[in-house]
Amino acid sequence: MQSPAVRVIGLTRRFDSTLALNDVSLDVAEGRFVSLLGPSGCGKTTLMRIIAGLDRQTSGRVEIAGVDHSASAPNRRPVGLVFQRYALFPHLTVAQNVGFSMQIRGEPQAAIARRVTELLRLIQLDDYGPRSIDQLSGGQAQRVALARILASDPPVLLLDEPMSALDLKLRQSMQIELRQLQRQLGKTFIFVTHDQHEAMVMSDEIVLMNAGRIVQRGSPEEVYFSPNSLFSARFLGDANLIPGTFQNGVLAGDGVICRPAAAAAMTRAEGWACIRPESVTISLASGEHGPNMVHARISETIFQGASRRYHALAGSHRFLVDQPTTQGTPLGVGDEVRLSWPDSAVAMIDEPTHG
Amino acid sequence: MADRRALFLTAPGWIWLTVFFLLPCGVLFAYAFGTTSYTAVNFGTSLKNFGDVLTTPTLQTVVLRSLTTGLAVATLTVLLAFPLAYAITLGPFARHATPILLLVVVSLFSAFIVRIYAWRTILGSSGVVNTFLMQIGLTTEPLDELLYSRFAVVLTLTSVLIPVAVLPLTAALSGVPRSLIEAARNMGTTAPQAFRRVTLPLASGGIGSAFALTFVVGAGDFITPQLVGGPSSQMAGSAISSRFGISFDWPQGAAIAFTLVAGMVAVLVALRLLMRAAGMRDRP
Amino acid sequence: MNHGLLARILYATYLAALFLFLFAPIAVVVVFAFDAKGIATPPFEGPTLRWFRAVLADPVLQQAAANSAKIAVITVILCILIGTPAAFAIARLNGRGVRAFALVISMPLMLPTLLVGVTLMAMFSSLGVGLSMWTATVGHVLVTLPFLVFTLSARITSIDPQLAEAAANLGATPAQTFRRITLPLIGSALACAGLLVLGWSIDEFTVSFFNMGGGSTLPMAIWGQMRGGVSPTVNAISTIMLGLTVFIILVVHRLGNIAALGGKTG
Repeated sequence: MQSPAVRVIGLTRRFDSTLALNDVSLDVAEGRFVSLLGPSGCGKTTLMRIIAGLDRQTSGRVEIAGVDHSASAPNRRPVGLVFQRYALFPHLTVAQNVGFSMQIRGEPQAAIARRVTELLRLIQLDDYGPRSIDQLSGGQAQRVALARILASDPPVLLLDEPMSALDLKLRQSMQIELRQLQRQLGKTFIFVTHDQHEAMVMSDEIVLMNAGRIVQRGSPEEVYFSPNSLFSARFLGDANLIPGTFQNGVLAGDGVICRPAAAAAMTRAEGWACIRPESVTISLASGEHGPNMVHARISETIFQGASRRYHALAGSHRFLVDQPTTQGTPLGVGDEVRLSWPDSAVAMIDEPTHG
Repeated sequence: MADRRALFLTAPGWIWLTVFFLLPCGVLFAYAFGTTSYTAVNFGTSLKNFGDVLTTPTLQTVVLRSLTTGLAVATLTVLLAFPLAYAITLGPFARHATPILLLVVVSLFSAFIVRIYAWRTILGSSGVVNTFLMQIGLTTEPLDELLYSRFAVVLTLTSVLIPVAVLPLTAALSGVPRSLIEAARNMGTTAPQAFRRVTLPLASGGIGSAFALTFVVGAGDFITPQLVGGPSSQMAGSAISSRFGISFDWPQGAAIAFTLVAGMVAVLVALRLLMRAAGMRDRP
Repeated sequence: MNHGLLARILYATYLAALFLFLFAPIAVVVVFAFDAKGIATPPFEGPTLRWFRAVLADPVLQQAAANSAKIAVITVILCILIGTPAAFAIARLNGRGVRAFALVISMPLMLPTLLVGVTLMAMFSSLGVGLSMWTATVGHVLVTLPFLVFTLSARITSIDPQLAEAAANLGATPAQTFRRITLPLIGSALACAGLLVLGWSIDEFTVSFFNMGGGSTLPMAIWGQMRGGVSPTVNAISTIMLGLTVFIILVVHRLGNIAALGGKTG
């Protein structure tokens, strides 16, 4: 069986009295695009720095391609790191930056020159070799940082929020570009970000972190539609979170009954149901009432371009509903409606409803 | 890991400073309680040397004169250097700061002894200043008080120390945002009020360090009084240097030195408290 | 802010007067170094290079100049060897130990130089170490070290610490990182600080005065000649030393690091 590209086991990192990482274990399979997603201070950057050897774990192991690298120096680890602010060498030209790792390895000048030219073509900065790095725009600097890492040809790339300095338009096009590049190269990418949209757009797999621990991992769809915690539900986007008590495999909250597709094992008698706004269908009221179906009145409508968002009041609950703009007729404030959702849209969350 | 790196990086410095600075300071402090014959200096536990410094009128006088000279020099230096620092930061010559600072730095790095020698030369009875005063008919014979006087000491030290004061003042004033001063002016304060309530408090750190630096150098100097001062303008530095030279009385020299340092610290602490009190009052 | 014409004129007049106050005495010395009379007394009696020739031919002054040069070069080397790692510690690490170190390293600059010279001499003498060029050099390092350390650490602080991490990540060993990344980035600051330490050491009088033993340096020679009454060569030696200072400052300015000049205090 092939070893994972990166495996960390029981990784803990303590800074004075705080735990930046608390017993984190993770396997990343080769060739995958994995995002470490979480709010700032969740430990994702620490995890990445420990994998790269720039920070040392308090306890735990780091394996890269099956080799134990827990204690090796950063320059001996086969991982490439793209820094948030790129960390291009200011006293070297673009070409010298890209060729740095080959220069260090003592490769022949001709080979370096050839590879640098190739890589500059790959990042579409063919003529930029002799330029100084302070003549580069943010997006160009980011590509140069990427090319510099690719020149050292590591099997694993770590990317530390590399898009956070770019404006929205550029970021969106770089997201696609980076994803395509990853597929083309077949390398393992571990991408650190606090932006859930970015993580969902790019990743094969999302590893959601909070307070030094991994909260949930899975494909973007899994993590988005089946959050396993209130934190997951809220961090990945808007959610209708309904507190209630469990009876016969369904959750009953104040006038709303949520029935999941498969009964989940719960540790207590109360908990939450999570339903994403896109999963809810809205139609003019017909008086029906039952599981996964509720009568409500619209209190707000917001046009969002591709979709229209409704706020609908059902008893003490305020539901968020997103309907594609091209479907159905627009509803107005005060309209009596029926909200319904499929069993598969209900995610059960095993957390207490008070405190 | 960081601790071991810090130890590794600072080890050469620690060793150097311990052997050649901290240890010697300790040795000198020990000497201050010692005794001397004309052939040897002995360590001891006597407080006699400090008693002598505090009770002998001539020694009292030189220590006090050092402190008052230091205060005069520091005050003059900061007052004279401030407009220059202001002109090249917030004032009209901000865009010409580099050549002006370059001149200041040339002056700063010119040998101390050469600059003192230069003042001695021009203040002498047949020097440039006296010759000029007589030529324009202001005086008929050379003014001897120009040289070998307290005036000469203060004048020379002020000239020598102005560059020392310019750098911290410039650093402090360049950290005062123009927008704050403009905001104060827009709110109807007059220019002097804005200066007193915005600029000065924000630059007070730099003013304090400029004052402290020039005070310490001025009060601790022994070259200037010997070269341009007269017998009645000798300072503690001259007394210390002679105890460690011809008169070979290290214990008393050490006692004068530590008394002088204690006096300097007292003056600087008092000034700091005064500044803080003044600063408090200024706040609305 | 707008500065009116009147303000500009007032400031310009003030600056001119202040620089006259700083430079006029020096200018007089330089002018009379070329005067035939040999003393700085008007009127100027015609140009001559006699005194410079006398300085260059004087074996005592030659010895003093050689001492000054040797002390200065050794001081610069020691300062860089001790001060560079110290500057990295102060710029990159924190903690109580490093803060205490920064305080102790700056103390020789916060005390009157006289006391640095005297304490050092007292210790050498009580240990039976003979005073020489070497004991004077120790003192020169003490007084110039804080300047070098703080100018250098200011430069290091301005360098992104991630550059070294990036180099390591690209396969560079710590030694390769230092040689290819760190050194080129601090190089000009190091050169500037080293040059200024050189100039400072050549000009330093007080510490040498107490720790040279029987030897002499250029500033000590000036002192000796001044104490010994009128000497026509003092103006010429002073002029040579001033010329050296101006040269060093211009080189430092050419290297583009006037910011490195911020730290000297006295």
